[in-house]
Amino acid sequence: MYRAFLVDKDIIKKDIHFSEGCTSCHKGNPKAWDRKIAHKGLISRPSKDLLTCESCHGDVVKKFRNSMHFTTAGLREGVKGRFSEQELKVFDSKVFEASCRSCHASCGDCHVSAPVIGGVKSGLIKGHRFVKRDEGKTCALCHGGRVYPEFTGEYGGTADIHYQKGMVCVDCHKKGELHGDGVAYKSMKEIKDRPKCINCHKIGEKDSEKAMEAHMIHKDRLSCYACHSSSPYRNCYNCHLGKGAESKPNFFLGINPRDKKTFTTLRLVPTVRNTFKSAGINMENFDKLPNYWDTAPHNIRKRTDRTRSCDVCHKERRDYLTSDKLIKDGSKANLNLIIKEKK
Amino acid sequence: MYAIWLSYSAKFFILLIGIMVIFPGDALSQQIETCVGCHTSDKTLKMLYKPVKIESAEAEG
Repeated sequence: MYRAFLVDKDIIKKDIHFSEGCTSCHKGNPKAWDRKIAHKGLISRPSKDLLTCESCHGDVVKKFRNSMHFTTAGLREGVKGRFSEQELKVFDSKVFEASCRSCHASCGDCHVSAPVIGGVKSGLIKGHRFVKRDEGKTCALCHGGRVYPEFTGEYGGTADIHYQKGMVCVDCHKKGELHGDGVAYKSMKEIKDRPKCINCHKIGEKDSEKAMEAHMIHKDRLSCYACHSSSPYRNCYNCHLGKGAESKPNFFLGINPRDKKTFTTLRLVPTVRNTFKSAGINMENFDKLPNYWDTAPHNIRKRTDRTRSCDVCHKERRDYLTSDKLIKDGSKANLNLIIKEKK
Repeated sequence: MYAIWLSYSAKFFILLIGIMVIFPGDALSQQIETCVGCHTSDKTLKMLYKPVKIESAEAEG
């Protein structure tokens, strides 16, 4: 849509970012009237090179350079355990830079223009204004596959109560988390200041007697999501390099593969045995990591089927991951996530 | 001689007025960038825009 490239004329004189003209960031030929000549040498995403912003926003950019939004290190960390040493070298040289790293966010992707998703460019967020936040686009375009539609209820389940109360992503995920703190984390699980439910919801503070009892019994054994995730969330299946994945809604309760003891909501990640076959990687250690990982579905409600009745879990074992629900030819490590029945 | 000079001055003055009508003062007071001319004009961009081709291999983000 052509409006993706339409700049709001009114902001050009008001915003200091425009004081040195378009070409100070975008290059190209500002005197040419011919479209091709004018666009020769054009840089469409100037902030891809962080130096563009660093000269004025040095403090933020220095931290952001190591942030996971920029490094996408989490994607590598999540899969590297499946590779042999030699395969990891192939992955780093053939796959990571070309595929995973191509998805990293630069300053402009959140503050100026929405990135291209699935081949579709929705373009400038607000006529090239440098926005501080714009929920609908800033977060949702990249996180619109799973988190955002679950949060708003557009995925078909129940909308998250925080969304319905008017909260937006940055109410929990603060600027410091999004820009990073300067430490080059390998996984988002390493970040200490990530949002936690108990930051706002102290156990016992506003609980009814029944809720207090439930929280005291389950507090170190279940994640909050295990009870308060309200409906099925998106799970991804069958990803192949360059071809993408399929998805469908599902809900799995199982053992958290990270601490191997608490029960939580699990989400199927799309890596299958031959995901990287086209790059010559067979994943020698595929069975060392499971296909299901602990997840924080953004569809939280105070009351769910599991908070209404103990029987839903303790008798019916509803939504528990079982061997017949596991994906075919999946990792052998998946079996460790099944909650065994007490006899 | 003076009449000829006056005639040239009048023509120059008319020409100057013409230029100022076509190119507003604020546009002349700064370096004209053709980028701004096209990218702030809804009509021009609509005329120039060609929809991109989406490859079938492009997957969901």
